Amino acid sequence: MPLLKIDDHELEVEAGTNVLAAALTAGIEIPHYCYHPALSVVGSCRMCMVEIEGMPKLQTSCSTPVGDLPPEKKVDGRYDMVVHTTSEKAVAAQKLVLEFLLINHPLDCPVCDQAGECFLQDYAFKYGSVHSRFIEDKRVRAGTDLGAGVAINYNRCIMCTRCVRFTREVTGTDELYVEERGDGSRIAVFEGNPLDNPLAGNVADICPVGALLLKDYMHTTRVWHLSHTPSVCTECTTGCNITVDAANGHIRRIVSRENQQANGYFICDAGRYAHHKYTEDVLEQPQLRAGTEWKDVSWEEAYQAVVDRIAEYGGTDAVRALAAATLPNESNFLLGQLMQKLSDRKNIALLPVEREADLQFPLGFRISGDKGGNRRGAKDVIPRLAAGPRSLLRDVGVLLIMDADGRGKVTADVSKLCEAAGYTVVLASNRSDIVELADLVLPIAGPFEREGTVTNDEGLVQWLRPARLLQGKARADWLVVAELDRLLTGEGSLYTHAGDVTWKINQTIPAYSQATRFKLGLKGLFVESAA
Amino acid sequence: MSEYQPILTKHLGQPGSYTLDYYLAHEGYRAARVAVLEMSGEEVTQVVKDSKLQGRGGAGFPTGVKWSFIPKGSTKPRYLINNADESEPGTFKDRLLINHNPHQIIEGMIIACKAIDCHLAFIYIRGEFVKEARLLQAAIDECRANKILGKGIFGSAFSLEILVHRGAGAYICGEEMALIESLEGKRGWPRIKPPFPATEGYLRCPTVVNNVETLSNLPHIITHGADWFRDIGASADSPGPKLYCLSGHVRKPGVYEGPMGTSLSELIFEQAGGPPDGRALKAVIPGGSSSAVLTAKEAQDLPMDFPSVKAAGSMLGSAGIIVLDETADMVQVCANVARFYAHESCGQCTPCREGTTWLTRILGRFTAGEGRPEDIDLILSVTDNIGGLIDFSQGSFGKTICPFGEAVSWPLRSFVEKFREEFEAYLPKAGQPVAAGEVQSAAA
Repeated sequence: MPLLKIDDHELEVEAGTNVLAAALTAGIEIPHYCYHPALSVVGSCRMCMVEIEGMPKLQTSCSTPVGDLPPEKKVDGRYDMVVHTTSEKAVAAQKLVLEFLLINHPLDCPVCDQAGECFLQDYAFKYGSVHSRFIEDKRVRAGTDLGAGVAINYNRCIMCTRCVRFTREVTGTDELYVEERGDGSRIAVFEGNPLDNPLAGNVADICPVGALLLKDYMHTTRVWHLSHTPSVCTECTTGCNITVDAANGHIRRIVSRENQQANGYFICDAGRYAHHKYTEDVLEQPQLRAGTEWKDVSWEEAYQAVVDRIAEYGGTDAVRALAAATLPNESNFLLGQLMQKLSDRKNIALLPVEREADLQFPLGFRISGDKGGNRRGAKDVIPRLAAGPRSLLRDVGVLLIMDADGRGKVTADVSKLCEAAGYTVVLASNRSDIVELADLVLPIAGPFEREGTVTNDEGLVQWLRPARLLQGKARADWLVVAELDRLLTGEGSLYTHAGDVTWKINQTIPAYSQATRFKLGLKGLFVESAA
Repeated sequence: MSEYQPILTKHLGQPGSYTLDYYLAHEGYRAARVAVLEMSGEEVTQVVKDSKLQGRGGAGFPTGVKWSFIPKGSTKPRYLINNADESEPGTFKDRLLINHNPHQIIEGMIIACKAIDCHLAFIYIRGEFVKEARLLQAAIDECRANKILGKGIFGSAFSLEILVHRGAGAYICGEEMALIESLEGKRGWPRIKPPFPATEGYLRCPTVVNNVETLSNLPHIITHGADWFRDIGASADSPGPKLYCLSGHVRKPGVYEGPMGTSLSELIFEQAGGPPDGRALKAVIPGGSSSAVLTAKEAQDLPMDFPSVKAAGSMLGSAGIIVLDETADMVQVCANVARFYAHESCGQCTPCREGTTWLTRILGRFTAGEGRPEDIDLILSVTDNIGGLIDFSQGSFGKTICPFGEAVSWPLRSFVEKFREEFEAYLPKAGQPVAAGEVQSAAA
């Protein structure tokens, strides 16, 4: 493999790797705008120019591949390429490109959403001049709405064309193009054909400056006030990696987080805006149905009601449960264990959730049609899973349902099961159709308050991190199940943290023995199917 | 030059010179017949290599060498593109060749296609050349009807189709990579090199892009041989017939054919009649608007071939000679050139997109009498930042994807450096309010 030297760093890279890609992989920063690892290389911003020994001209590092040199031609007897990113010539090139980018760029960082995470701002501090040599009036154009919740501020645009290449290469939908020419060039959509695809929000993520803006996030928070929680989206079984950005306990936005094992670089808009639906109709208190009304009760009263009703309706042998394919492995595992202890029968099944066709995009991105985000995990960790709600009908007494984050479907089988059950207890974070079936509601953590592991449809186990605190008197999903276990069986371990349950899963499910909390890290770990 | 007999423009102005009948009656398609029936592709390439024919589009790259860059053993189809997007200001030679002798071009294309084993060739013609596109199409149709194009040319196994593709009038589409993108149906944005067109060009297949005049030379090289060709002109390294386009302040503007290395003074004064009304020569732009301007002194007796013009600090380019006499206002000329490039910049890379407009605006201020003394050095600095310093030993500086950046900065820098006092004369005088009338008089 060729040996590459970038400044003081030595790297071995695959032949044919571009210098910039090699540098970024090794954590060496070379300023760049138009290059994005998921998109084709155009070399148009000219920001990543470096000096390469033996080449008279500066080269754009994004488009310069490293090759193997014959032994006698190696630089200093060992390197296949020696790159200087901070030499006088290279820095001069970076400075001149930056000057050109800044001449027409407004100085509106104080009101720009990108400020604080803007590469133009960062490099302007690093390479820019305090004084501008440009005394003409700046180019000013009115911004516009591109569609799909994305707006453009033309004055800030630096024409890197990442967004154009994104709609061309990643989504294959071709909505964006470059209009006009030269100084008049700008990103545009054709009349009557606005930006409209399920991945559209990513164009704002990949925009290196504050030109493309998500209207959903616009002017809500300065980015330095955000806490960034690396987590996983459970809206479908793809298991996209996300960063949940919150301020003052409110989730402000969700952006994609790179993970080549799962989603690559992007996320879909359904996941990006998912947090909004979990801020509506949040359940903050255990509630008992009193006729058409709901009556707030304490957790003690709620638990007592569960114990009393089980005794009333056929004892523990008649308890049936519907687990949620969207909840973490921890709560599903504990529920499975509890149901096993309560009876020898097949007494647990999965709550049916919404399902649609998969959406496959040209460069490999996939939105799974299965909206039960942790279905694979639920199947792996729940023993004796029955085929569906219909198999639980016989002798049903008390029915425990874990709501699938509003995506649970009240099918005919579910309705029948509820009618047959003497008493229905629903564990849910938000009010939903499933909650309407309940006689007692126990509030649990919502998708962005949960901690634990989820398994995507390819068997990638990932760690879910809470981005905000539990709402009201809601309790962690796994904790409620563990507490029910103790109440009903008088045994059950004293878990203090979701990680304790993960440890128990590692001990109990052989396929998950390696999927420990610490081994999962930020990228997760593949497991074999438990079945 | 009096004894020089025109080669490329021999049949210029003859009635029906553009028809197949006329061309066949004047030894037309004999060279193509020889190349197709009697020579191998390698032999054709070798003859052209030996002839030292250099590309006539502007860069002057040896044609035979360019062909030999096509990877051997590649199973992909090869393409020849005839670059007829003649859009360099001051250049109008290809148009003449198309109008008067389209079959000479087609014959050249057949020879080139034989050399690189190409079976589908394109003529990418400038959008404004409506009549010329029709003429070429008519010539191709005539050839097809007479089995000169199509399946089994001249009864051989060699087949060739030629398609005429009209551009949409963008200057940048004369740049080979932008041309290829445009031909593929995309926006005319130059692609980053490498890969070069010879390995990945049209539809990512090996492609050769040759200029109209270059291709017009090929039948003569095949007919008369490489040695004959090398003997034309003063320099054996840069030989052949050449079309020179004279425009600007001359009494008889037009295209003149002469051997490579014809002196600039001869072209301007003897052929084109010199500046009108006995005015003195001030400057010459020798190779289209993207070449550096030469002062009258530098231009005197300069042989017009690739190495000599390069040595004089400019380039032969497309030999679009723009003559400027003593009445020319160099600041206005400079502003005009800058305006052209700002208008034609494709907008892909940063220095060219932002820099050309910046320069235009500075020069606009200048000509409006609102220049500042520091603006003169600012113009120099910005031109350097777009295209790099003029250093022919190093070639282009690579600050932009395509040579457009250099095409902007070389001429503009030369205007400011060589006629700095004219720029200074445009500066408003200290303490005086700016008035357009005064500025005009100061410049005159």
